[in-house]
Amino acid sequence: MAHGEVRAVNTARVAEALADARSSGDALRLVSGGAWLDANRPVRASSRLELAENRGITAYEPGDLTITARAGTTLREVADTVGAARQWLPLDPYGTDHATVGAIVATGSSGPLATGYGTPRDMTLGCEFVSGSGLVVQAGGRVVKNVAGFDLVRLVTGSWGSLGAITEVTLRLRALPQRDVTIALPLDAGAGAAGIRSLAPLPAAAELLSPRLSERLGFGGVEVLLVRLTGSELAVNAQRSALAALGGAARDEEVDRWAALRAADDHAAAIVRISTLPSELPRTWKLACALTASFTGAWCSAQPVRGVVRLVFPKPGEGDLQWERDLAARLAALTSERMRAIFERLPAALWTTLAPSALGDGLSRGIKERFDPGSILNPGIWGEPA
Amino acid sequence: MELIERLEQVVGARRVLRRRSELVTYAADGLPSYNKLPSLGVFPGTREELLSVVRVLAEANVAFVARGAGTGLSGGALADGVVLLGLNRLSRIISIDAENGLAVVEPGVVNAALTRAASVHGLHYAPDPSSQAACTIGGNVAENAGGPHCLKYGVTLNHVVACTVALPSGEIATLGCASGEADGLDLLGAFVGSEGCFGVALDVTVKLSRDPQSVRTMLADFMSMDDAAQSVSSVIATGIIPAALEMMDNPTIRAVEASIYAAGYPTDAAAVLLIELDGAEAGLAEEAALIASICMAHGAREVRVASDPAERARLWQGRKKAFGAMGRISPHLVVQDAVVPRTKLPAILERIAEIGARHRVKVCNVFHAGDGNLHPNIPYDAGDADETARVHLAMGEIMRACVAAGGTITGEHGIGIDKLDYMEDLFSADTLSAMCALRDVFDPDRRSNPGKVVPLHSCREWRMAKSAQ
Repeated sequence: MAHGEVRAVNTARVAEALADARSSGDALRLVSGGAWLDANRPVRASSRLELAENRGITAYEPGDLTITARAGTTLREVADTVGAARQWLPLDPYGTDHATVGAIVATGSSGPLATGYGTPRDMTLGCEFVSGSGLVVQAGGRVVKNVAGFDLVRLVTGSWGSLGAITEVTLRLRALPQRDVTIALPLDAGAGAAGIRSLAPLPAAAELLSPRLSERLGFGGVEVLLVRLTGSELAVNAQRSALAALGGAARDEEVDRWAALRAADDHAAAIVRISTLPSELPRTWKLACALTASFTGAWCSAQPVRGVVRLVFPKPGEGDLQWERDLAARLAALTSERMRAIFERLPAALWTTLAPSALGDGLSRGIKERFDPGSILNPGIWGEPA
Repeated sequence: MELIERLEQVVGARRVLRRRSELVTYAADGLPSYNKLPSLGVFPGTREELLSVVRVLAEANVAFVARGAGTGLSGGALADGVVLLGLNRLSRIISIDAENGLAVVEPGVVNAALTRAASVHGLHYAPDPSSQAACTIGGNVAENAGGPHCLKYGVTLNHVVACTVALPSGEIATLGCASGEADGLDLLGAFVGSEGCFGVALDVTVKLSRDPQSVRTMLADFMSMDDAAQSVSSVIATGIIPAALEMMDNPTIRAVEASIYAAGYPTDAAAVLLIELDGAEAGLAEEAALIASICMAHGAREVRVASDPAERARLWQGRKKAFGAMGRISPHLVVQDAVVPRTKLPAILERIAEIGARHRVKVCNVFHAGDGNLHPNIPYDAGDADETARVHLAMGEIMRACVAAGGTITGEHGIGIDKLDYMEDLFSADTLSAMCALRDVFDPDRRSNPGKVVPLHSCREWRMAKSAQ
């Protein structure tokens, strides 16, 4: 760390830090809770801009079912505040509730609840950010429906801090469901995927767990479909009956199973998500299971409704030099037209071979150039050339 | 070669309109108060023709405005002396993938036609603007259109997964992806709702939703607007998300009941709520009973449940045709689309009534109460200069009151030219500059729907600042 770190506790300080970086040319690595520091491509930056201390809830009126919080506020703080009014933010990115809302929006991260409630793209109503070019932008608003002007909220959501540093976000909330039930079904991918997609309404979450993940989470090492049902007593009971009809012996589980699932990939060396059409999921799942089975300790999980399979590879043993080469070869073979891979985390050396750049198109490059002309924000995070 | 000849070569001479008598058809959209005459009208019939037209216009450096069915409510599809690009011939549903709940359509496909085509699979396209019998998917994407059922199911943005776009330069861009998740910057999110300023969609891939197992449609009538508004807040607070939660005030009810769209709303009620619940049959009756009891507790005279699909359709027709019914009152209508936080609904309705009374104008409220998305409409006669002036004063005050309450100036209709003047009340100069920067990437020459969404001088200031750097 050549130039150390800058702490910014409010929007004005963030703007100052960015102005300093523009004039000195020293790029900044944006850091909040630090949950995603080893995710996406390696960043070339001499200094860190620490954003976690810019925290606290700025506006919360329960009847509006929205909350405005500074970017460094954690999911836990939001949950505590809105839980008192029997509300929740149904957003559960992999990791823990110490993740900050600013980083979740910046990375566009979601978890199992994306099946029923969507991703940050669907829940972020507004945000304030300071662009690399120095504009202090109030994008969107605080109401649940808003089409005024061009959509800068969507632009910044999931942009990995490459266009601006988010300082505040407004999120849509839900009332806590009357019932929140978790059920484990020993179903294979074919039966589970087709069955779960035919449920109406769809469950809040449905995750297929590979045998190794099932073992790790205490489900006995068989393929399991873990389902979360939310809603009124009667609606949940009806969904439960529909689930039972899919076959397999349904077993009730504690809701904290989801926290264990989300935390399982801590310290993984590589995480890859494969996007596929839901109808292709059984085939993709088979490939993913076979691939992970050949790497020590690796596993996969899938969201059959969304058509997403997630492969997790723990760090190899000391001195295992072959591991990286094998992984690169197998992952490269996996990518095909109907199976797009999104790399969440990779050993640094593999990025350039597997996913050289996500800013390959002229529009994305143009946006980066206009919002961060000096390339002072997280340079390299999209694999853009130096 | 002349521009007209080149365009005729692409689409055929019959599909290029140049006579004033032909172009006047396209001089207005759903808002009758704005009239702008295009210089030419071009109507491609295939995606290849559309792309070629965009390329011819790019080569000639000529500005254009894409238009679907012309049902927009912000003056967004008006071409003021530039080329009008009519997309309604591009009305093919290219594919429906029932298994994955996806459809690929050309931009001129009518919203309701897509749902009709999907219905054989037990699927529908969820966003349902009131104009859905006429409006097109391309127009819906441009405006990020909403509709009554967006309360539960979300707006257009939440249902579009990919678009193939002809950029104003004539290049093709593929935004989003149909399967799973997209990677990289959310260009699709930026494109949806860009009001035709970022290019023209060649095709759109949308999600289709499974038809609900069961539906309950209820009409609650109230003797005061405030009671109805308080009921809305209490219903939202239960955590039940109705499929739709709509409110109509007495002037609207009377306009509807006097029209061919009469739905059987009680004409002596101060307000009615049209509430729809849908989902699994289990529990739906209990939720309906709970909501009915909330309305009764807030002073509803009666809560009626539609007994069959015909009655349900009739209740909805009155709501969806309310704007049309207002045409009976006066020749012109200003339509507004502001949104307020839901807890501010009772207070803002009171304020709107006060503003209307003070300016001696008749406000008809018909709106998406569950979202806090207001439509205070004022029928008037544009030939009456005094009345017109009062109407515009009242509208300005209503809009500023909504912004001051923490709201926004448009929830689903878009800025177009109608709300340009309010953009600076809502957004800072920096925010408007960021919007200009984004537009610059898609349309550096400002040829795609020029003069819309962001006030011209905001961009001019931004450009000056940029060149000074």
